[in-house]
Amino acid sequence: MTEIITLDHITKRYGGRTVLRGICHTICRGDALAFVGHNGCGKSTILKVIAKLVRPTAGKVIYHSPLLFHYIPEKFPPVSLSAREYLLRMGALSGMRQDEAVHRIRMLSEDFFLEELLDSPMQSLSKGTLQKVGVIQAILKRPDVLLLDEPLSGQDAASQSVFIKKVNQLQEEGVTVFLAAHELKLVHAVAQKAYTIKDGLLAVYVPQETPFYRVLLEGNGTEKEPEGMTRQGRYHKLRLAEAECDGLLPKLLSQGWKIRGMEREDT
Amino acid sequence: MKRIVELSNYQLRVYFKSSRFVMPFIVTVVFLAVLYSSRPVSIESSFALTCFLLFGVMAWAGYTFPSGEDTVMEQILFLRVKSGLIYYAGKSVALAAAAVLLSGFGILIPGVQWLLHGGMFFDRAAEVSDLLAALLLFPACSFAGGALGGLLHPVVIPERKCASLLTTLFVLLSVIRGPLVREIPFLRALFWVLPPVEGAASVYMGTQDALPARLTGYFAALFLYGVVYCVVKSLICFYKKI
Repeated sequence: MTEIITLDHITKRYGGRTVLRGICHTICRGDALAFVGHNGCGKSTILKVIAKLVRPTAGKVIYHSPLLFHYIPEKFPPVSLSAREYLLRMGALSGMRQDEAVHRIRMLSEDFFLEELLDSPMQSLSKGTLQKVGVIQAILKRPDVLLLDEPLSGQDAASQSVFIKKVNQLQEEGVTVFLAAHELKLVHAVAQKAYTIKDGLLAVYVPQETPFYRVLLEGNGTEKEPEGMTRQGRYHKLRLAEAECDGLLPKLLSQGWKIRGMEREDT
Repeated sequence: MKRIVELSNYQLRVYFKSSRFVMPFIVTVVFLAVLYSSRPVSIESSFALTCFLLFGVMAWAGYTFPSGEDTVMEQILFLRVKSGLIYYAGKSVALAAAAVLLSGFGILIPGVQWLLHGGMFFDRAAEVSDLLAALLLFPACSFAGGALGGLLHPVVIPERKCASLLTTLFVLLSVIRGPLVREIPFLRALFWVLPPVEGAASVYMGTQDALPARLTGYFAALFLYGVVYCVVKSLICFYKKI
């Protein structure tokens, strides 16, 4: 694995508060790292320190070769251009030929269900749609490093799936991915390693030891409700430990219940 | 170089598609239309007034230029061009291009009047040196004004009311700097930081033979002031932001 970035004793203080404390880490090409944790723990800061958008108070970030970073922020800001014009300008700034950029924008906007809104002024787009423009600008041309700061905020489920697929494709092509997120579903789908930042220190994220699942079931009204089941709209919700699922779910299915959804609780 | 051009192209498109340029544009056109509404017009004095107008309007435009900037969008652009030098050079080139575009009106409006009146618009026959004067003086004054307004960037002076007052003060002092220094000589030690715009009124004085040299010197001085302001602003922004 080729080393591309070294974090050498990185410390970052804002006022009197130390957000990052002497962090040392080496990142290799194709790594996909996620930073999880509560608001203000330093997830976004570490992303910006890695990209040299924020200067550390102490320590240094070393790039072992020149790197092209692309960034998807949590809230993508609008500018006074249409989405198409903005993306074309970004393509030109990345050194893409006009026809190449046009083709790529068409493909990506179809993937993200954005074709009909491409000519709308960005200032009139909804938050979720703007976020899609933010995603497309970042993957228009393949970067060396992709920084994702809560990239899915406001996006619909179908676009989220497309996004996860695209990021995984890029990672297979050798793009290094850094993700700061609350959504563990995204972390599990994208990252190879996950870290939390506690008291300014990087710690390997350990997921909940006994995972629980939320199962949505639909019945015809005659079935017996098992203990712990609660009503949720037209469905019933059941919280089950992983070990219980294999035994209980077939039993419920045989009683006439139908599974309408299942989700790991920590996602 | 290509990325600088692309970045300045992007900055200009965003600027001209926003409402920020509308008022400076209207003020320039109205002022020039009034200035060139009756004839005969003195070339020397109308050119000097146009220089002061373009300097003031571009200082205004330079001051409002960064108000549409968003930190996150700047970070995206900064990473995309991979270099602080390219990023800030691109912004400075965009400002210079806006200055050239605006100064085009300073040439276009009297030029149209001159053509409409069959060359009998000014108080004397216009010469090639007058066109040269307009081509050198107007963009130089515009750029120096834009760079001066841009120097008071939100990162340099976050308090915007104070920045707008300072912009107005600097513009006025630049225009009256010559007479002030003659009255109070020690002000020269302070006022060298302001661009020598007041020289537009005196550039025609002296022998006609030396006019091209005076124009070139004046252009170079204003251009240099503009470049220095852009460099200072860029360095402050670079070191204060990250």
